[in-house]
Amino acid sequence: MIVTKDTKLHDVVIAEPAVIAVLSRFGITLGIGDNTVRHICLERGINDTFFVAVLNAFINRDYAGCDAFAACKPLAADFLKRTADYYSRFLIPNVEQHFNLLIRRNTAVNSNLELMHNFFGEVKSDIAATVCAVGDRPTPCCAVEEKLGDLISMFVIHLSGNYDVNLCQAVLFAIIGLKKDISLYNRICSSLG
Amino acid sequence: MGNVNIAIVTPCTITFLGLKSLLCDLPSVSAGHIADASSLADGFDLYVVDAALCLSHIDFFLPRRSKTLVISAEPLSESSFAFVCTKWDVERIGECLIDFVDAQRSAAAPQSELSQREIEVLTLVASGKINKEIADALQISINTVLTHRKNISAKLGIKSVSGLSVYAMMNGYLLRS
Repeated sequence: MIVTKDTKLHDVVIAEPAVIAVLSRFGITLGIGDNTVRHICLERGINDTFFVAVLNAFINRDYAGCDAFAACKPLAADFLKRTADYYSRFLIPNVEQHFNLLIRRNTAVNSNLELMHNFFGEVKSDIAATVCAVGDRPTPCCAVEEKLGDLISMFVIHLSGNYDVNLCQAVLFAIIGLKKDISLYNRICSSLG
Repeated sequence: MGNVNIAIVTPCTITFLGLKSLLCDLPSVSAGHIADASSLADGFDLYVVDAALCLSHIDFFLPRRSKTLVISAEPLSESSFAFVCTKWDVERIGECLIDFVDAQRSAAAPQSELSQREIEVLTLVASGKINKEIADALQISINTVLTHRKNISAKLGIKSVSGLSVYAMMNGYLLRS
């Protein structure tokens, strides 16, 4: 879907629930009511042009309006800082928590899960060294996006042995969400030059 | 790709006969001779071409470089084309042709499992070897290594070196550290 200023925000969330993670960086949480993007942005003092560009870039990988980020450079830089903070406080602990539980609940021997968990540990370190450590000079971290893609393939294509199906899906969804977010982060960084 | 139909593009009949005898030792491979490059056409799965003819018909071969093997007197280390060197011994030329055909077969069948050669490349990548070291270890060109790596990533859905290492450990190709 393409979001405009006249789109009802709840329609965006219902069509693309993963966007909730992005909204929270603008201080918007569930219970958003029945208002348009324009109305909600006005009410909360959010730049609606930047907001619409972020939502569209998150939802559509090929969104062509990323030049809006360069036009709102201070806003974009601030959003990237909040994004880095969001990764270390919520998204990464979310994956980690589910992953740990998956491994603990796994009574059968499945050392592939351990290997994949170690690989996620490497991704975590990469995020800490790139996204979370750059401060005022954010740079794209394509290697992290690539490794998260690899991890998703390991779950979807190559996973074997016994495991808790529900927890495994929870880990996978958390990783997919993180990858999608990192992809947004990278595109905003790239458009800032 | 079932039967692989290869065009050997060279004005030299002896070169054609030599390459044909090596290629036709491979299963499901047939080779035809194109002595006059002006009659080049699609319809072949692969092209093995004399270096001078490749250069004079670069407009034809450049878009088909992943399907082209250049016959060269010297190693083409800076070229984006895979090559076979006329100075190599018969065994190495044979290995190079096997790799070239194998790599193209794998590319045409992305759903199949890794070939033996791809497992060898994967194991070397996973153990931290760079492309040049892999090429030297397996006695193949760097371009062939790159083709194998591309095929491996396409089959596994895994692109990063550390991701490939994890996959290699998961499948026992590499010892777990």
